[in-house]
Amino acid sequence: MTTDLELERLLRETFGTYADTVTDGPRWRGAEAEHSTAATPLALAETTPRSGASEPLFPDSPMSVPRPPDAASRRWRIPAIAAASVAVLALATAVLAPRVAHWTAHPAAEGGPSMTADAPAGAGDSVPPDAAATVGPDGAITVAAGDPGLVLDLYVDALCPICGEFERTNGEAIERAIDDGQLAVRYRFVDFLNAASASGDYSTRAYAALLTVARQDGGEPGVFLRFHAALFDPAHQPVEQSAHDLSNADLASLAGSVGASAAAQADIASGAGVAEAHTLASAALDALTAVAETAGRAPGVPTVAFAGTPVNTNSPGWLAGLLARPTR
Amino acid sequence: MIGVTLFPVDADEGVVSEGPTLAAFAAAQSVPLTRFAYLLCGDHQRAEDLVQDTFLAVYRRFGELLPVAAPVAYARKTLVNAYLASSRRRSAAELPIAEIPEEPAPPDDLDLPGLMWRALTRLPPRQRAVLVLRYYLDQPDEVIAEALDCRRGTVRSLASRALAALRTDPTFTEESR
Repeated sequence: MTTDLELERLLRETFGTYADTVTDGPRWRGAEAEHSTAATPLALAETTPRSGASEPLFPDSPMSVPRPPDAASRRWRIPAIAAASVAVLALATAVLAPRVAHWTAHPAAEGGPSMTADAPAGAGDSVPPDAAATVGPDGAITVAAGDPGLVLDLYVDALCPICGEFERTNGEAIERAIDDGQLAVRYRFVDFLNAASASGDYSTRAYAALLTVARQDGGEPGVFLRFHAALFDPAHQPVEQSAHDLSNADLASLAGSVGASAAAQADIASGAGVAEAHTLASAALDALTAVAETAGRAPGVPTVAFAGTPVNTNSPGWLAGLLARPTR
Repeated sequence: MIGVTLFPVDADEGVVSEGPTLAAFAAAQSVPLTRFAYLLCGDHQRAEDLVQDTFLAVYRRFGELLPVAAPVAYARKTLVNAYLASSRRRSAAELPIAEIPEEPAPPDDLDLPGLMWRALTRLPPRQRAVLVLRYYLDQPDEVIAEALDCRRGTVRSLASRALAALRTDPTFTEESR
């Protein structure tokens, strides 16, 4: 067993042999959400014959007979929407007056920056340590692998739809740069959009939940970023001035669904950290205001700040450009 | 650029396309994905859980109607990430063992794949994932890099470390001599 060729041949044989021990798989039975209207009845193809090492993208095999439910397979529920928040809406709508305007320009919709092309020389083949999330005394949640040369502050509000758009446009590239050890992101959350949420304090509670996950599970790579991404996913992010948002219990179960610990979920559900989160979010708004002032404009989210000044993230190559700049 | 090419999901989102339904996708991909998951984690039940989680993630990302650009790559990537995340959670609760407590196979009944399978359990999850993607799914390194959110050079170094570890795995080398 000395050459790589022999080793590779044995690996292929081993994988093929053991893959064949799997003759069945779980089915998708619809979201099973309380508010889901179309739970699609599911049929599972009978044991698909293995057709070589790589599977075709879409085998031609038609769907076949439905099978009885499989008790062993796990159920995941989309968190139930808080129902008791309708009354708050009227109030929220009445007093709604966002103190801070969104940036109206949308980030580039397509063709995001290519991070891989601009990897700095010298990074080599070394595998950076797994990214971890830590919480600073100012409430910033820093996500980094090792000690990257580039540190960016990202100001967001959990209810802000454009922040969600920013996440969808840039999230993957940002996460990749973090994982590659090139970028540290200090997530700073503000909560000035609270009044536009059904519960009146969604932005603060979402931030509190993120703080809890970062503090308790920040060492578990990916958990914080997955939770962050999930909160800005249109499937979960509440709509401004709508009748629904996520309760603390919903936030807890969403956190659990992306790998947060039971302890973190319990803390989120309890709502214990909300007051502290509001204090920290107010401090973040002051910091954001200072950042915006360096560019002579009013604060808004999302804002990316580099060395205390805003970055124009509407330019498609903004992140690649920052990463490629000479460091230190 | 790779990410954009593989997952042009934002552009397609919300468009009622000619794409398949999640039901059809799940039906067609259930067994292939479960095989993939089993090779990653080595446990049938855990493999099914990973696939179930993956379908849910695809649902959350795309809904019941999938974009034309088939999200197999997305599903695989999600599955690998779920596997890596759950491995990290498990590693906190499990103690690594130096010796495997099983009887070695008798020399005259040499089961090389069996030895290899056991040697694979001693690899770090990311290294094992690279091997499965490379030698089971025959994915090129750039696709593997995309799935693992790392650079191609990292894929190469993970693979060469994995092969080196297998080549020098004590049980494996002694048994196969």
